[in-house]
Amino acid sequence: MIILQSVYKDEVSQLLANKDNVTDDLAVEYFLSLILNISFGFAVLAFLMTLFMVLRRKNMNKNKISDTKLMERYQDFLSSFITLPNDDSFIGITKNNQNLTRLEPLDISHTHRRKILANEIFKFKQQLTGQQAEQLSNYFYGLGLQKEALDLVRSRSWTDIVKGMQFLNEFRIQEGLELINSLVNHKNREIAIHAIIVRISLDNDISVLTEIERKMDAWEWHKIVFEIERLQLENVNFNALIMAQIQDKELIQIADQKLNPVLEFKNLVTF
Amino acid sequence: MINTILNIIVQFFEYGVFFYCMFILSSYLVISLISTVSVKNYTRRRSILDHATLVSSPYQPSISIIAPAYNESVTIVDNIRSLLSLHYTNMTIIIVNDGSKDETLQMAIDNYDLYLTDQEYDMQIDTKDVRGIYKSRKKAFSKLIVVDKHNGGKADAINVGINVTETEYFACIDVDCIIDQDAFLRLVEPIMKGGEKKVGAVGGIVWLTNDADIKSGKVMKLRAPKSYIGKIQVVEYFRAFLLGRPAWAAKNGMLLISGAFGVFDRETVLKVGGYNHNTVGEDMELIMRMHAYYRLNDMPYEIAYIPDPLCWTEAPSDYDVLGRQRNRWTRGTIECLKFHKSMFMNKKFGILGYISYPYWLVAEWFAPYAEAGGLLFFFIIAVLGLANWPFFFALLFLVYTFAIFISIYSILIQELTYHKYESVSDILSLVATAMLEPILYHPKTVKWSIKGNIDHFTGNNKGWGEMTRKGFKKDGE
Repeated sequence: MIILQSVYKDEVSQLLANKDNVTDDLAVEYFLSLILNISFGFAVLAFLMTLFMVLRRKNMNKNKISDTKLMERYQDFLSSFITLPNDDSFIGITKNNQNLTRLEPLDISHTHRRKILANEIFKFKQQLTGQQAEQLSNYFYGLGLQKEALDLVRSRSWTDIVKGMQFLNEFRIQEGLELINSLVNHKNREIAIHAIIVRISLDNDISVLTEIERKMDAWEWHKIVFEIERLQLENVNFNALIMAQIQDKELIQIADQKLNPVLEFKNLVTF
Repeated sequence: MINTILNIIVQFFEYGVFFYCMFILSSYLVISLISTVSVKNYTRRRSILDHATLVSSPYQPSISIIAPAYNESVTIVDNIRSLLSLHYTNMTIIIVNDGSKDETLQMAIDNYDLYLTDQEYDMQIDTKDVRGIYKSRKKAFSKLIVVDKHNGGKADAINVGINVTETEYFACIDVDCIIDQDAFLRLVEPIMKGGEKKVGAVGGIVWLTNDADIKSGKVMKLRAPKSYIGKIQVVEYFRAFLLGRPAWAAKNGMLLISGAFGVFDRETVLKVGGYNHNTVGEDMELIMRMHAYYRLNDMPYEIAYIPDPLCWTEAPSDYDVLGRQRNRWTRGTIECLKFHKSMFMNKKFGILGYISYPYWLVAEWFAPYAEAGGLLFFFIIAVLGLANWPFFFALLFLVYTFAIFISIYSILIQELTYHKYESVSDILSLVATAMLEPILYHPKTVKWSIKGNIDHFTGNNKGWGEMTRKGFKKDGE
């Protein structure tokens, strides 16, 4: 049927005289055209993929340059913003100072630009504490970016939801609490652990641990402990809360080993 | 009688090779699709998860990085410095000097202020004798241990490292690789998420750096290698690490974690007896033995893989060296498949027995036989004037277009995920390489594989073969 077919070609007349064999012959022709069509399909797909990559790469390189410029500009702006006086004179300075005039047309009406600015504020705030962090938070709210953070939490993509929750946590957006509550036991564990972290941050305690309906793994415990350390939650009654969450011996052992440095667990939990 | 036998042979080649070919093509398609989903999920997660918080976490599993060194006096100081700068707190670095004949040990002693300790260790795996264990007097290098031993090969050197360390996990790396500074923060994620499942080993992508810009032990900018041999290996690595392994790992059927870079559960490796000296495919053999151990003991486990470029290495830059490497890979594959033949179609091994092992057997070991046999058969019938040329060209066209489709698809996946190559000319150059591969390069791989088979069965060329590399470009070069 395949590559020896020509051997039989001398017998074409006999084939035509026999109905079954004619069918076979037609099947062979059909098979040949099928192979060719599939091959052309692969060739076309390969060409389209190449074209797509080239166009995408060109576009990315172009956008990368403009995005990088935009990010640098926002970084300049934000570092000036937190170092300059927090009053009306700020605008005056930016207008009069040659070095800062380029920051003036801070057009963030475009969604993409707002996204970049929100990310820059987020990254910058992670490195700050005290009044400067507060200043950045106020600026974030002033631009209404908390609405975009809440929209992200409402979105369907789990990465967007997590990103939104990271904003809620960093800027302590209390309006997000209602949205978060239903996510604490989400089947996607990344969403769930981020919801727990945001709850700890916004509640300023770890009562959310009592609501968790499953075992947590080391990755999740790490996240929680990191958050507790970051928030410096010291005056919280961990005992009852953790005992409510940790009901089996294995988890108690993990908690004993891992949480001890942070929670002084041994003094709180008795076996 | 002779006619019957000839007829059977003809039928076998005519239909057997055809169906074999169709099986391979459809397997590649399925594997590529599963891998695409897996890689996409991973890269989405990667974009939002902050692994940096792990740096100071009390949850970090302890890891030893074991790097065997043999005659590395020129690079040992820089390589140790590079390892010391990795972002991981709960880590020990164990350099095993495998009886180097040059100044490897002395260079390490002089530059890191090492002294001979009287540290004892439990020799749980038999190895060649250890001459001494060195540690640094300087606090800055307190994580560093240098073990000096008699020469015994890579597997023996790693086994010594496993004996000496007491950490939960160990990483096995080639000392001349560049490791991403956050590599271990990322590799431990599957371990920490394992829960009740034992995570036996975790692998990552090994990426090629030929002609890349490297500064202070970091890959600054990648570009497609200038040479065809370099470019073709880049495409091969894309196919293997982006379109192959993610699928096997997603189904917990991965038989190989690259010897250049992987993290392993020390307890399990000790239980299965460490690395096997009697094969040149010791990395694959260890993973197969770990699978067997977990399966036969009914333990929930995972051999994980993260499709993240965490380790950078240089590909062979001439065909002789590459040929020796591929010869060794072939022999390693055959040895591992023979060692673990009890896995074949054995229900105790689940996906390994029914899919992974048969796939490796048919698509890896038997592939050069099928290709070479098919070509020989066709040559004979062409000479005899029996060939159906339209079908021949149609099938040739199908195989060619499929081959370039899969290669270009792997380049596309790279572009959509890590987009490491910034210029359009790099992409086009890789695409052109993929288009030429079936004609210029693939016949060589078949030849090397057949040579590997012959060497295996005749007992020739038992060792690793000499690997020579140009070396990474230093700063400013």
